[in-house]
Amino acid sequence: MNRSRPLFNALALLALAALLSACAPATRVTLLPQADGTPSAVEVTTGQGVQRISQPYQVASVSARGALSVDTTTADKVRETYPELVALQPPAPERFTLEFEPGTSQLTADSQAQLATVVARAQARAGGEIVVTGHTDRQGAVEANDRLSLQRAQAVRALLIERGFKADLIEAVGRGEREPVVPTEDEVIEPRNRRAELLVR
Amino acid sequence: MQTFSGTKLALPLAAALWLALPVAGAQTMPATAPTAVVAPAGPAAAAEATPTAVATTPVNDKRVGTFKQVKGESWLGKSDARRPAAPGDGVLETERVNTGPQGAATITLKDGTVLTMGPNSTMDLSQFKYDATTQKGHFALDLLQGSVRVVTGLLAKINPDLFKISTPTSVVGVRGTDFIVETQAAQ
Repeated sequence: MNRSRPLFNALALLALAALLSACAPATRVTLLPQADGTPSAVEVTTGQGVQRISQPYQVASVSARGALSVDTTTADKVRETYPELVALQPPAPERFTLEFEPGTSQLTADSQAQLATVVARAQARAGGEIVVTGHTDRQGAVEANDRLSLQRAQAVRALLIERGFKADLIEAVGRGEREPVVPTEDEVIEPRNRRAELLVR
Repeated sequence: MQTFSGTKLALPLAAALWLALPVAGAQTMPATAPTAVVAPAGPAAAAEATPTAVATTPVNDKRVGTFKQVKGESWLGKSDARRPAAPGDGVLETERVNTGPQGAATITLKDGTVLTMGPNSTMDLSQFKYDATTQKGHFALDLLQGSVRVVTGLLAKINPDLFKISTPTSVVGVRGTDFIVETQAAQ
């Protein structure tokens, strides 16, 4: 963190606050860095114009009349101003991949054994959820694979419910043939793409 | 830091801008989505065979998000009928969420978007449509007062123009992002 001129900054802010007291911002938008470091941006639009901010810790301020301005803050100041918004971030989601016996929607023995771990990991989180996403290979029509992948996900969901996880907190999703782990031409049989991916969040 | 004091003019600006936003079309759930649910009932014969249909616990389709951590006073619903929120509770589309002076809460939406509300905050999940199969949909959140941190999920990645946060004075659009919006209530 650049903290080379804290006193100057404090004075500058005070001066700014005095100057702006008649038109303190009605809305402030602070851009935070992405967890993976990739660039990001937000655009703030009012009746008076559009302000884009694309550097972490830039702040777009909007006056009550819709006038836009930009300044910058720091990680320390964000922690100070919005402690709850920093503290309450949930831990990163965990992912598990389950495989099926070839040509069935029966999980392999290894995958069945993983279900207890998945339930335990989800129960350890505040409001923990499990999203089960079913996938198929590219054999068959897109619509049929959408249905099949959903059925596969629902089969896994039923097993998680059997193991005592709350039904409302498990979602079954079918992604059909859209996300292969092994890309193939259409109509190619590829058992490795027939799987369920579980997201615990 | 500037304070949020002083008289504010109510501007019907956000509403006007809101009307101009594009409306998502053709993003409904597939009409063929089966209502019966399937359990693995022994090995099926054919490759990629349709498993045997067995009725099981229905999905709560209306839930668009789930409360994670909840601190202090946090409520679900409009003031006359609001109820305390707890971890694991569901949030529905159009529902209001608000927090008291010591309150804060985190909600994860179906597409993975994480919303964290600070104290003294009120927001409406005005629109949330998400098709998990195609990952298309749209989202509109109205922050009426206070602060919210938004870590965007799949929806904003795939449909960035259909993901908007409105305050009484502005509309915030995103490009794959983690950000905080803080606003004063409209006067």
